[in-house]
Amino acid sequence: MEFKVEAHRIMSISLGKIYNSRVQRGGIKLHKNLLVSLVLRSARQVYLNDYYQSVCLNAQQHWGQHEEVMDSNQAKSTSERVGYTATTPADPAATTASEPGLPAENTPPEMTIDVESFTESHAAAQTEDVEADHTDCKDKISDCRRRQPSELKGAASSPASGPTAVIAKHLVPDNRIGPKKVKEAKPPQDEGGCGEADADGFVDDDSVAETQLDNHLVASCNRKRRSSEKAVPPESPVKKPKRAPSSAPSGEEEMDTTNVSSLITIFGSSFSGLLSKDNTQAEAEAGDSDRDSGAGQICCDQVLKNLNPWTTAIVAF
Amino acid sequence: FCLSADIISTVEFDHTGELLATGDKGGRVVIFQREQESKNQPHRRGEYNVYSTFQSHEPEFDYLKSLEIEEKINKIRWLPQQNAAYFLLSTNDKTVKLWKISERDKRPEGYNLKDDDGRIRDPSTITTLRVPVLQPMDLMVEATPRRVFANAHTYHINSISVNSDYETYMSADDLRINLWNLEITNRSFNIVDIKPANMEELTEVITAAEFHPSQCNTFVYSSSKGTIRLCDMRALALCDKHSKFFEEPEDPSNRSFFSEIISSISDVKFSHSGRYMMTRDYLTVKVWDLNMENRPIETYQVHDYLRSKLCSLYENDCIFDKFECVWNGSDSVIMTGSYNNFFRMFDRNTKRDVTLEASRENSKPRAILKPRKVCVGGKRRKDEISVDSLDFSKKILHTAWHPSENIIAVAATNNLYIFQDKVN
Repeated sequence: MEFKVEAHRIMSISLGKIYNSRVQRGGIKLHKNLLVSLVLRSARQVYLNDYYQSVCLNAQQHWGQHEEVMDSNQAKSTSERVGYTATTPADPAATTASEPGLPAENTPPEMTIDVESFTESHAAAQTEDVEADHTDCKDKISDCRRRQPSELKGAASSPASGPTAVIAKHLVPDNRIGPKKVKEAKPPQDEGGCGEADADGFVDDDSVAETQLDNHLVASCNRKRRSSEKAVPPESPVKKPKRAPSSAPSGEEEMDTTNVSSLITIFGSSFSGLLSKDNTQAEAEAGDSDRDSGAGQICCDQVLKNLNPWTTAIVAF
Repeated sequence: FCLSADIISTVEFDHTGELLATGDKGGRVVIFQREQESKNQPHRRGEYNVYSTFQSHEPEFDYLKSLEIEEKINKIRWLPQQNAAYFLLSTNDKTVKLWKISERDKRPEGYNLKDDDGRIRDPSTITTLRVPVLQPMDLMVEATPRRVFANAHTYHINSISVNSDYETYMSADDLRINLWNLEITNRSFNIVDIKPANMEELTEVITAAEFHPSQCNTFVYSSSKGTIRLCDMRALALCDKHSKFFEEPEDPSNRSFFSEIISSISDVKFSHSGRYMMTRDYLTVKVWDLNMENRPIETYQVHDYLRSKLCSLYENDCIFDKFECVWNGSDSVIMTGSYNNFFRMFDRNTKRDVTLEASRENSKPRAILKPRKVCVGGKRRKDEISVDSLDFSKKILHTAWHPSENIIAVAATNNLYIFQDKVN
């Protein structure tokens, strides 16, 4: 438990450093930011290890209660969303019942989701894994979609899937991907900055949105492969709030989460500037400009939209 | 109270040891010259006095990228002396400059058309013609920029190193190393490029680079991952493939959140002999034999008592401090800095080490430095200082050792200390 608290603290300190590096004289120091992102990643791993262990225990208890609820709700799901929403109907019941009870556990994954996506973009050695797994996961996506409710139920009842199911609750509450808590964390005034970043990185939201679910699932498959305990498609929850600024979140958050989430919010909105600076440096080089501006956009959008598979869509721009 | 612009950011003796250059955060270079030993006072070794001061770099603003470029001098490297003038290279984050420092101790006097003050004389008052004569004057040292090597680095320059051929030098930033000819400013050759095609895949950066002291085709560069690569320029034009790769396997028992940060190498220096090299990471100094790549031959703990404090040092940013390390003239002793204005020396032969302090309060001029000791918990002896009392704002990052004598220069924030061996 202490590891979790310590890791949490280190993560928020690291994010603060990255944010402050924007305003430091002399421009962004690549070396220091790289080191900070490595610390961030280590802390996140420890944090998630701890988190999933505790979540596993909770999930095992919850699944016993909600099996029946799942069966009744599965018929309503569309075929495309079977992979995820099959589990979620269970969760609204669980959500209402358990959210007040598990606020501490609910909030961390969102924060770590942002963090993970950030570290992915900043110093991602794992992106190689992503690309390797990408093709495999394409097959998996169709499998996911076609998966029968009964299979899911069976799978979900096992401890290993427990975390996935619980996390999915946070990620796909309704139609939109993105938990309320993350949305709340982003104050409206930051949307302007985010919007600009969006404009830079996303010329065509719609075409990107089409592949959204695919990539969402791909990312989750990738995550599962990479690490057994981390079966989290991280990026989509962050993306959604930016896309739907009009949806006003309700005030549910705990204080400590607010601090960290607002850090991420501020960070996220300013991150486009941070990385566009970092990569505009590279743009000055002859012959590299296209790729680097692409990379700059990629990094920028990575944090804001935060799906590694997104890069393939973004590079096109 | 100290102005941040006065913080010394680099210290370097020239090849004779007669001159000592310092660069500071404000972009200034101050050169000290050793007094000639006088016959009247044979016991008094030459002291270093200010010889020249000039503004090397100014703050700049890159409008295209909206970036402010700091004027802080990151490194100074002297060129070997070839005539009466002195030459040095100084660099900030983006631009390297070659400075010529020359003396003027005579000036022409007796011009016809202007006064000795320089004012133009009224032509109607000129009735005679005379030839100006060189008259002695007070010594004036002037520094002029002879070359400006600009626009070659996208990232922040961390090192410059003059080649033993005295014709070329290299400059290294986080991801690239460029080779320059000292005469040519509008062109440089890229010899190392570790920038990944996709910046998201970035895992390490270049932290320091140096040419071999005698082999003009060989250089090394260190990385943030604790590795050193030795490259041979004869093998390839672009030295992305290394000839040798030096890395010590990590000790798994020391693993922590901050393992990666503390393994990042902050400085690499060849020995004068060229047989060894020394690297500095956050807690240790390591000596490597160039013929053995799998581990260093010697490891010295600089301040291992900080290992349990890494989290606090991360919070206050001290963990990112880049300490330098130096060899003495005979490669028998190595020196590096620490906190609380402490600096450490390790004798490679006797395996003895000493901690000394550079502070005004604790040392009077001509007094012998007293060894210091940090107490690591338990009972603190009278002269010891406990780890928790260390002042982490007083850090010695930059030191220099005279090329042949036991004279050291230690930069403690905005003060420069010069220590010499006691004369018997």
